[in-house]
Amino acid sequence: MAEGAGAARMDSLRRNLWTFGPLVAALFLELAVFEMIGRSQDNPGFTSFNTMMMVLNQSAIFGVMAVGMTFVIITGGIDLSVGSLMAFGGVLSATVVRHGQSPAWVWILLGWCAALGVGMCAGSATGLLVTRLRIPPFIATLALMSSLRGLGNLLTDGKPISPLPPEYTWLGRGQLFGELPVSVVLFMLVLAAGFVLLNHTRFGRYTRAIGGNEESARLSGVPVMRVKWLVYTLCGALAVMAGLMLTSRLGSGDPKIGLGDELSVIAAVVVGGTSLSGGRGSIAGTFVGLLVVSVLNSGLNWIGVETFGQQVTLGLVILAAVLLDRVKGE
Amino acid sequence: MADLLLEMRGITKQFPGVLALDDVSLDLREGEVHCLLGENGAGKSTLMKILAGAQPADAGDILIGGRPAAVTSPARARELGVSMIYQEFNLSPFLSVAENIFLGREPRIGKTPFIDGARLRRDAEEVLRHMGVTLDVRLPVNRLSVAQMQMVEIAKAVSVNARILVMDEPSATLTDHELASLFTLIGELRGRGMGILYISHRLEEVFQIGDRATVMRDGRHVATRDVADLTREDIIRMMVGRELTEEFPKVSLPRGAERLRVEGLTRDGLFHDVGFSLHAGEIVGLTGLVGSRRTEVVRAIFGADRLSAGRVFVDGREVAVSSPRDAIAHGVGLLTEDRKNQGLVLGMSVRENITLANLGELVRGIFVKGGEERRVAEDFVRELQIKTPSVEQAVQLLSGGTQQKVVLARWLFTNAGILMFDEPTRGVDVGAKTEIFRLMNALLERGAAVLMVSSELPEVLGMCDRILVMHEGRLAGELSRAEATQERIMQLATGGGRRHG
Repeated sequence: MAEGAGAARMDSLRRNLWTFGPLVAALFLELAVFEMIGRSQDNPGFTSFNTMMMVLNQSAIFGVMAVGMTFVIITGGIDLSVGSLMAFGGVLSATVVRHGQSPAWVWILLGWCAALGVGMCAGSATGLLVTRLRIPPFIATLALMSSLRGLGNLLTDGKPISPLPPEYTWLGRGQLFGELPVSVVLFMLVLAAGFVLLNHTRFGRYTRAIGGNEESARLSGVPVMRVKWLVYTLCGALAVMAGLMLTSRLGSGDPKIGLGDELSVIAAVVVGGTSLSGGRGSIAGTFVGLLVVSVLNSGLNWIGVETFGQQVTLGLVILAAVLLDRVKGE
Repeated sequence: MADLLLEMRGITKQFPGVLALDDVSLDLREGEVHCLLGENGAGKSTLMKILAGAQPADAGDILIGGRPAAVTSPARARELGVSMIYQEFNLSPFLSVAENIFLGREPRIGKTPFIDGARLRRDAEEVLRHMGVTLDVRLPVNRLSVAQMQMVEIAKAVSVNARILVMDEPSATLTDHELASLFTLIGELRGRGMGILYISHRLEEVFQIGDRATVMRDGRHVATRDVADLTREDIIRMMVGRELTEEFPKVSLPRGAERLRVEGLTRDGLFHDVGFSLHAGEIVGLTGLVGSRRTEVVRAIFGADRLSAGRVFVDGREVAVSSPRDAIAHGVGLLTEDRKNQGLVLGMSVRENITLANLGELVRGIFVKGGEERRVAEDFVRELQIKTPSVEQAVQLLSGGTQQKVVLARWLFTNAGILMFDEPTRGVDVGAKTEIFRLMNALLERGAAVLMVSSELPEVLGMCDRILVMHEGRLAGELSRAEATQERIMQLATGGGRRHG
């Protein structure tokens, strides 16, 4: 018995190394390269606590969305509406706060809750379109992406809502215990919850079974429609959460935020080794994938490479990650 | 002696952890059908993949037409005159028959890049006429039957002037009639000097069309003999390496209480008014020709497809089954015919596949109890002797018979009292077949009832207490074990047996 357990543990250790080893190695390589180049430019300290916290803080918002997206992609689906949902959730809460009375924090909480509720509704609508009406997720969420973006702009007449009360910015700019950004803490909580949900619950198991083979899952009694519907609902809620974090950080309800962010999030998830054809993927992978992308951007900034150069490099990294996955598959 | 088309000498292939082929030699003469036999995992497919250039050998030589040949890729194999027809066809579903036959070699108008459609069709018709096959070459391939798709695959091989044709289990999905025409065609090709390597699990076929047979076991060459010098028992003994005492280990138990009864099952356009019952302790066979809708009936009982009409009773109580989930809740299980696409989640581990249908049993709150789950999986691996290095192994890396045992373990874990097996032994070797039958017996002893859908009459006759025969979507009759013979089943299956006429 103990023998079997030991063998199984060795097996899963080996598989984890095989899955994440190259990615983690790439991350450390990045860190080393930027540190060295930084030093040669008389600009040391890239690998300091402060920079690393900054990197985490920057990836926190994408990260929250990426957790939801990982679930969706593992089922073999995709959600293109998350960028628009971010903006819509943000302006919705900002609108509530602006129309609110004092005390401000009551209305802020109300706004956040309303936005999260709307995010869940939007996600669950996607889920119903995909399961009950059998619309391919790409199309269903493409439609939602457009409509939600429009709704956000209609709500604010296309203009940002500002200023927001200072309490509102706690989510995006606040710090706990002096040093720890609230958004990083939130990100870690979402990551941990996502990890447990995917690996240690029936819901997570069913998510992976559906992505691996939907028909086999159905014939094994997996409630395929309900699980998929929940997955999209989760993704919608997390997209709005990310939108609230960003709105809070900016201090204004801007309907233009999140444009194109759905693609950056998908990129991070894919770099993290989650397969777009479904069935294969992990939260840990998504976390490392996010860090690889985020360290790359910050590092390039650090050594003075501007946005355009960053875009080119990011493209190459995505290709390299997918090629690496292909090689491992064989 | 006819000339040698092909010689494979000392082929060796190592996979991580397994020696898949150990110094295997094989030759093929002009104008012969050479059957390649062996259990799953014996190395037949690997050997053929090496011949077809899909995988490199670690050691050994291949001689084609007496000259050493480096088969480095499937394209190179084709140039050397080797064509391979896999079980899963390599056809493009929305292209026409003609386009598929000449895919990659389309005739063009002069030197322009445009395809000469008229000539394409003429050439394709010519190839098919030569084979004695009538088929509209303009039809898209997805409108063809499996047998017709196979003809298109053969036509592809013929049109590139292949001298060596490898067929991997060509008969697995054919009806008897289609099989007869396949054999006629194979005879025709043999007469023209083509050499055919024929892989099959159905031993009868070896005696019908084989000239010589090679048996492999555990990656080694066991023997090559003229079929005329072999008996069925010889082959089985060489394949499993021991005497197989009982191919069908039938046990007869007293018939228990009724577990399942269905009445008037109808799915419009597919089957009509199907009714029967299953009792504890018995195996009931459901047989008929391909297309008689046996699979459709069991899928509908299981809730995988919708019924237009009909009632289902479990243990005497009427139940509403609108999804597989409902069926499982009522203790009904279905082992599907196509375990790769409708049974297993190939990328998941043995453990996850075993527990998938009854995960609720292993849950506290929302969490899966990891340790207990692993113990359950390990117990089944031991009990069913599932050959896997650990329960964390992905099932896609296991052989066909082993995968079938994983599916079986899944249903054993649900404690289903009513189990429907759809072609449980398809693609499973002789040794594993017997093990599967023994497991069925074990289920019966625990008070379960088994419905076995099968096209293999010997196993239906060997294992079933009663036999239901379907013909064109209706139950054509029921035979008891005592009265059933191959002839009577066939009579009912072909619509010639109105007993109550």
